[in-house]
Amino acid sequence: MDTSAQPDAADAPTPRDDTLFVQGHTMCPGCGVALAVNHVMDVLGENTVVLFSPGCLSAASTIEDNYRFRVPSSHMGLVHSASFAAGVSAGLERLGLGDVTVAPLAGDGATGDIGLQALSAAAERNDDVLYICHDNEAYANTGVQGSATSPQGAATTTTPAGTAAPYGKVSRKKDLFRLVTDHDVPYAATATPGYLGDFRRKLEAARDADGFRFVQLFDPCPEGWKFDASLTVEVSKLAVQTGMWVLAESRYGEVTVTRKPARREPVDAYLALQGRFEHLTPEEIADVQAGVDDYWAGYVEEGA
Amino acid sequence: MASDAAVAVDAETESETRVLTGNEAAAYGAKLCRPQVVSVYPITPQSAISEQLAADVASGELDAHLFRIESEHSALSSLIGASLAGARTFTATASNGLFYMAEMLHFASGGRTPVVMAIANRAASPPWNVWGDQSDSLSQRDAGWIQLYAENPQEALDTIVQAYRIAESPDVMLPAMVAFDGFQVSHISEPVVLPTQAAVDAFLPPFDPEHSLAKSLVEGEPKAFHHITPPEASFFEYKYRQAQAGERALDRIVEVDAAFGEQFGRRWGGLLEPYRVEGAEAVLLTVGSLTTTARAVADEYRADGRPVGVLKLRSYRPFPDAALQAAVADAAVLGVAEKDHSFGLTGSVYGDVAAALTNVDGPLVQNFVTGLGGREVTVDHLRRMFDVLLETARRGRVDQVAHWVGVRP
Repeated sequence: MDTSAQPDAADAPTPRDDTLFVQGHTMCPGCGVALAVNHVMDVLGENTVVLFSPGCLSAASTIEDNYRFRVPSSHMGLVHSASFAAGVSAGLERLGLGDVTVAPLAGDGATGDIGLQALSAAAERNDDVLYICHDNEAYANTGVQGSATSPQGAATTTTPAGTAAPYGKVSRKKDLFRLVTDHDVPYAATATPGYLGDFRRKLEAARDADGFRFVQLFDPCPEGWKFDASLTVEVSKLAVQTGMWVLAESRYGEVTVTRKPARREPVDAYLALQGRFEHLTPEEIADVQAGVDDYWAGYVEEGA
Repeated sequence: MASDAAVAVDAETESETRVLTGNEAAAYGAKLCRPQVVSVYPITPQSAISEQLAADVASGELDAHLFRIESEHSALSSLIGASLAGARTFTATASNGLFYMAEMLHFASGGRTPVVMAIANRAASPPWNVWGDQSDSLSQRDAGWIQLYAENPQEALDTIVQAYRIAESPDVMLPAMVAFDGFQVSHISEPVVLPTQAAVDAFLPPFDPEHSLAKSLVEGEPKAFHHITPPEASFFEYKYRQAQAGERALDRIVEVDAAFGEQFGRRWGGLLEPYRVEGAEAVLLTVGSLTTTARAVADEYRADGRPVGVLKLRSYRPFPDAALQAAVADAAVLGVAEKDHSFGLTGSVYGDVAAALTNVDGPLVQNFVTGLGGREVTVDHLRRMFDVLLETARRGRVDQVAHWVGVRP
């Protein structure tokens, strides 16, 4: 987030009256999360409570006197998005408001690292929560530190590439969708704003289901991934076309891949667009390709 | 217990007397308050509270959403969420569980969500120890929670009922812990008078916070709770208001105990409960179940012409400075007996007592650290404390502030 870019009220365009995520937030140009949240709110509608884990979105839209949502919300801590949201949902249900959608909007670190215990527990209990994970593959707001959901080969500020650590991040991306799906939850999905039809259909499905629902959104981050802010949608699409990101959904553990590229593109084109991968040698790129091939062979194509 | 025989007890207010452990009494008290969301996670010595509430929900006796939660961090997180939604909430914990909650303790108080939580006090390990001392809750004194300490099962039950009314007072809105000694209270059985549901309903109105997510939804006014407050926004002012709420809680604790006494015929002293303090040269301040033994020893000394008294501290946070100053104004020396130790200093309670007496013409103050890890505090230990205090009174000066009583050399 660029905190220096406070909007000047006199110059600000008149916000649309019907959006629930309102112009005037301070997300970076080209931010995949901002793009995604517009559609998330459009699909979920006003009978929704959103809950923010600390991160770019809350920092850019819930500052005192500059609240940019038209639904009630609370800020949360980093650790407990799922249990906090489960409590909100249970409390509202007890007060006769069981039809309200309770949607934590949490980053990938808040979800897959420090918040995994709470996530797993809420999924296991089937708490009535629509959990949205904004996966930008790093702790973006604190300065793009590495998370378990950073991909293999990515340089982040805590997985920098150097002569003694040529890869950047060595391990592969933690698969949160599969972890949640293995709890046999009513609905889980992955999506990315480059494929908006798929994205909105999945959010509608999640909204209309009951119990624990999980949507992991692949939200490209121009600042953190080091690509031009005009390329967000292209990066989003390339991630799917190369198989770096798999569009899928599951109901009670039954996984369907919702968009299988007829021919997966080599990862090179995707990696080449982003400065976070610029240190990779051809051999290392081949390793990343092998990781993607393994993933598709073992999981997507064979349904393991 | 300061049972006032002159207060008429309405037959409607009390159903029966049962022999209950402290844990059973606490669970019963919680149930009577009709919490709408309850999170349970086991830890010795409070597990029986969690089990009892789960059983009450399973039997339909308590109509609540029960979270079989995965950790104490989430126990409190879920209740903060539920409280923010607008629901009444309850959980119980001890020691490691309380420490695991530490982040959320501040969240509950800063967010002004009046969760009520029972603490069956337990030592801080290692060496591993599940028995009772007060290191757990006393060490969380700066987390912004009201902390009330109960002496026995009856007081645990009654104080939980009182705690909701205090915590949910519109001018307080702070979370509250009701703490009692692990094992010495949680696991001992005593006759407990059970208030009727109708009487508690009359005493405790439903939780109706001025601001909540539910109200925000129903009123169609989207509000952002716990939003980001940079230095020149209102963070400092929020904290100031929170501090003022803590000050007001002092009055509410006194009023609510008095109102409880009128309705149920039992009072517990409000902030502090003096026993034979009048005319006492040496007063021993106690926290929790130790008080009962200390009173018996005070009786023994008084019978022997030695002027001692006991002052039970019931509210540790907010700390009752003025009430303490008034209670011990005529004593020569005040001893502070507590089952904890603040590393590198003295006992936590001693530090606060000494601070409260700094600017007034009060008694000399000494500290007795005792009972750590559940070590029994015997009548002989208490005699030693009173003897030290009487000797200090005779000399008119303190030669040694802190005494560890009951520790082997």
